[in-house]
Amino acid sequence: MQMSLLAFQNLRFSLNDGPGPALAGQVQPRSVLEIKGPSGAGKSTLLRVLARLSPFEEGNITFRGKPSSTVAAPLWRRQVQYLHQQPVLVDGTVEDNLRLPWSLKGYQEVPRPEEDDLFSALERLSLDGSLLHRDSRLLSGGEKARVALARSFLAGPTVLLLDEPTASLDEESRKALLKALRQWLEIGADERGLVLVSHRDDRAYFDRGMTLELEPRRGGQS
Amino acid sequence: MSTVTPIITDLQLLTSLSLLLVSGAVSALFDLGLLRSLLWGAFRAFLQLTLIGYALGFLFSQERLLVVAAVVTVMTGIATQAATSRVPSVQRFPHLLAFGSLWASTFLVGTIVLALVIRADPWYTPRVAIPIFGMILGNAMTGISLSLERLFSSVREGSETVEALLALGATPWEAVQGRVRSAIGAGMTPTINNLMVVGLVSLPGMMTGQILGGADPLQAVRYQIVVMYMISAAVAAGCLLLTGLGYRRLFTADGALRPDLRESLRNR
Repeated sequence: MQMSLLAFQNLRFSLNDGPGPALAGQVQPRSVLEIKGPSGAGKSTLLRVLARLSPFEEGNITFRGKPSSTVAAPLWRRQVQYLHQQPVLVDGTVEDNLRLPWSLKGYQEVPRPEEDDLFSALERLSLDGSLLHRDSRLLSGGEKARVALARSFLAGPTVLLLDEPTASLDEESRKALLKALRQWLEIGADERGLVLVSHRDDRAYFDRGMTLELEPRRGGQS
Repeated sequence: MSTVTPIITDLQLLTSLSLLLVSGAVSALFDLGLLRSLLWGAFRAFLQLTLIGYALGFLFSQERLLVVAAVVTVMTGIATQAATSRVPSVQRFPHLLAFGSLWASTFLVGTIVLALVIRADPWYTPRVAIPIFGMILGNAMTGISLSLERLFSSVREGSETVEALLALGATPWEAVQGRVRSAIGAGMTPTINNLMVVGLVSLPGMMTGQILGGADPLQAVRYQIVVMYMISAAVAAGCLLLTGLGYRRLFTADGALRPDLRESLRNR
């Protein structure tokens, strides 16, 4: 069996209403791990824990077999990249946003994208190239979500953690985003993986994957 | 010049009580509900200042560096309390860190001023050193609490951006460096603005005091210039130390933003 890109065993973390259940799962190369469950079950928190933006109490997480405790957090987060449900863009143009990772020390070794790379990153997400010099505050919600994803594509993580990426998108934007995700995941020399929290049947867009179903919380809303 | 400060007798002090009638009348007239606070405040001001008068009289007779250092350390403790407790958005900020920053910047700048500029004999002569250290502390305290407040509120408001940077692989420093910078700036700005208007809008208390005490105005002005420069240095050093050492406290050991700082995220 291939080594999984990201794996977690016996993983426990606190939720708003107390300790959560022990969870296990893995992300195989070129495949998706879908997280399902009622709201309040801890789907978003699981993504944050996997990105080491929130703490866990028990169990372990490994990236390509390496335990999280042996990898510096910034390096980990570059490889296992979390994208907020509400896209976060910094003030400035779309180009400023796409180049944002290269303002960080961790990207010194990663070649800076040429302008052509930026155009094709936008194109992959069915965004017009003329957006490149637009003020990011003037974008629509769907455009912001896709620019944030384009930025992550350029930054080149191995595993992407997406929290309901299509929740607030119209059907056209949703299809464009899923198509681009599928391309990113399944085509290309690099082995990549995807963790997806979704209420809709986004999972159906991908060939390979598995589903982790989180139990409803006792007394929680469904 | 044969200027001698007129003595304020007990009777004259009592006469000054009548001034309280003015503040009392304003409070009563507009039903501000401040009368009790006013009376309590007036009493406390009288008591605290009288006590400090006696304490200073005693301290000034002790020409020992250790005594000066002890007094300044106690004053720093009180200033730390004031600097951190009046900042509503800052919870559980380590007092030791604020204390250390205030203490270090106060001693650094104060010693430079006393030993190299003023050069009393000995340089730590309490009559000179304690007021100087006190002025540094008072101003550094204000600057530090301004910059603490700015740092915490800016990270709280921008917690999503800070987290998005972390998620891209930023180190904690990279995720907040712009906010640390603006926090240092926020602490220093009032002092720098003050440099612009001093002498035009206000006559500083210390200078006024020296002139009342019979000093040559030109000498008093020189003291004031030194003090203004000294304060701007102390505020800069204090803010730099505090935010430079303190920004890490915004994050967990694993370099994630502390949960209580992203409350706004969870409530959505």
